[in-house]
Amino acid sequence: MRRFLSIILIAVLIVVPSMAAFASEIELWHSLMGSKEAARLELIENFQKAYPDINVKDLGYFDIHQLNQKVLTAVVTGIPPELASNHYYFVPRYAANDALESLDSYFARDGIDPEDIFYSFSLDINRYNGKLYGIPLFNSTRVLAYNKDLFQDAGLDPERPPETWTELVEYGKKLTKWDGDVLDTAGFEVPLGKEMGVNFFCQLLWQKGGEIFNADNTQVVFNSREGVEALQFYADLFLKHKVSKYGFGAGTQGGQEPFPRGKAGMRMGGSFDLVYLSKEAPHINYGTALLPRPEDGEFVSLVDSFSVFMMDKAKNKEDAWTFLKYCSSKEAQLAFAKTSFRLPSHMEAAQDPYFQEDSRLRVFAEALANGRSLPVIPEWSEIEDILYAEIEAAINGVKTPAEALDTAAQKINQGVL
Amino acid sequence: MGYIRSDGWTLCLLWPWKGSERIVDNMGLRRRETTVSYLFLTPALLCLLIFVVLPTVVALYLSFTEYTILRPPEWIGIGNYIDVFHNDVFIKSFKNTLRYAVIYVPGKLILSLFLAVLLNQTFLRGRGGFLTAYYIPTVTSMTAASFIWLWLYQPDSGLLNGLLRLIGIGPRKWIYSISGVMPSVAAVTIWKDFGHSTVLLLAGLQGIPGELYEAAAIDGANTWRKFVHISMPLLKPVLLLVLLTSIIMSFQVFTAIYIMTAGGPMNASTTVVHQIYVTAFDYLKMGRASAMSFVLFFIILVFSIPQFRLLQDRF
Repeated sequence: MRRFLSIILIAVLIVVPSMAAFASEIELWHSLMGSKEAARLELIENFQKAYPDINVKDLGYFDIHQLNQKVLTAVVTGIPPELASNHYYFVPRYAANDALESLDSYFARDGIDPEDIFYSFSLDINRYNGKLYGIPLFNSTRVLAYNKDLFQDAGLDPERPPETWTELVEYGKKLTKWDGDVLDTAGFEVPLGKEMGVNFFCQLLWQKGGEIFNADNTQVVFNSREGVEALQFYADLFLKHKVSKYGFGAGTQGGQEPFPRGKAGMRMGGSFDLVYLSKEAPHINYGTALLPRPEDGEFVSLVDSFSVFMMDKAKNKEDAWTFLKYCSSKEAQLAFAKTSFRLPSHMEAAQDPYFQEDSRLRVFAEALANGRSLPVIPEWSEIEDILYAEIEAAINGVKTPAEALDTAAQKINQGVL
Repeated sequence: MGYIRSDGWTLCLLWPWKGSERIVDNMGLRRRETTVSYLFLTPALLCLLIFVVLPTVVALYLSFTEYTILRPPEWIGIGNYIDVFHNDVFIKSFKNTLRYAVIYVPGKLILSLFLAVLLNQTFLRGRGGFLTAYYIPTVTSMTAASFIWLWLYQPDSGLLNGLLRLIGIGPRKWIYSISGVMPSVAAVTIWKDFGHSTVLLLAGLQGIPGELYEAAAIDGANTWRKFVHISMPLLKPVLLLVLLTSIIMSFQVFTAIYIMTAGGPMNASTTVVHQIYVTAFDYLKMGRASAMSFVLFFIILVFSIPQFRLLQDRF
């Protein structure tokens, strides 16, 4: 009797785990946390409902650098996950080192042209050397967010946000409040930190008609006349018009930042800021508008996103592709955008009336019409570091904008590129 | 404290080992003791070999290559070392690290010594409570602490400037000014580490026999002379230990900078280890980062050798 039972036990122990092996599994490592967490959970849940025999095992990291290290280690040891999703810093590096699977053949095989589905600038962030490596999950763009109550207090029309650089300065001065030496309320909270600071500079540069790189991305050319004018405007906000102060809002995050606390009249905001505003500071009556353009320039919006990409040495590529195809579908893009306050990268999904109804989201959708994405270069992180150090020098009055940009360009062109 | 028997680099690290001078004329017992000793040493030596020696050797090899992890390393000779010496941010990071060390080491030492002397006073009650309070920063996570300090240092909404404002002092820029950032970072790390050195120095002070002070008092010595001529000389071994470890720690400062200042403003607070990290994990230039690490290693070595000699000469 005992012998019989032990045989049954052993049989069960062998059969059951191997049955699990029949349900195929894909692994997704990502940093879709914080403002994107709810959307990510929804995406995976909906995918599992549509494809119940593919099991998605996901692993999330708050820190994009930690995730990057995990992915690097996995690639080197030859057992990467099927899919990964990280900040746009990392895609060019993985692509440049052949760690990613190119998706062009999969699209072709299934008779889909990605250009028909996605905005071209969304695809641009995911292309390297002409090949497509990732599916953009959403579009995140930068707009002007402004506090309508503070506008009213300062005698400004809350329905008439600034449209030009001159107006931005004018409004900013009226909204700024100094308490002796301490800045109490910033008229225009200028972005700080390497990523947002360089984003802001790129916006200004593009609005003036300037370029970051030359035609084949081999040299930086931002130390042009347009670049100097852009950086001069950036620096003047601090030094001449004093609508903000270096360090204002630094070290704060999410709901602690000046704008959600009613301590900033205007700021450059991204989609992620909207999430924090609605969750942690719903009392702030804010509006959105396109970022003001210079008198002699155009409206331009910097667009970025996180994408999902397939690793080259993945085991289960077919099921991974099924997931990617699902992420490119209109329903998935629409759902993700709605839940995460972003905009879809899917062109048709972005036309959905939902984005037109909400007056704040409408501006994001409008901004997409002038969307531009950052260049896709593996050395972008290093370039940002060098450029931001020089931007800081200019906005602190240590160097003139021309000197700052020339130094940065020289260091980058000789040291990095 | 015992002798340092240096038949092996490892044993130098086990220096509180007592009296290993043994006169054994029974050869069999000695041989068995030796075998058993080696057996006990093996696990630790194996760990050292696998996790310290091997990676160091590999890193040395990598420092002569270009390596982005995702592709196999490519030999480029001394190219990385040449780049390192021309990299003005790296050179700046050395200057920053020195500037930091000059504030951190004396600051921490003086604070710990002062507190240790105070805690050593016989009239003091609740010594354990004080020591616990001083030691708590040492056991907190540096990452968590850095975030709190970020708030403390916030120029407009932070606690420190708020308190200063209450007593009528204008706002300070703390980590947002080029001149103030290193002292501010040093304040954080001193706050974190002073508990540990206070405990060590107090232990050292309490190891000094009370009779020496009594004898000095009979000879007419005042408090200051007692301190200078009895406490300090007998405290020298512990002081040197704290000094040496503080200097090495000051070269390794990283977490506070990574979280609070990201090396800024304008590279005023980037340190050598911070640059190595950024070069390795942000820029993925492993070869160059390895070269930077070895340059740091040699500089620390140059600092440490005379100090090790000083320590050993005491005996």
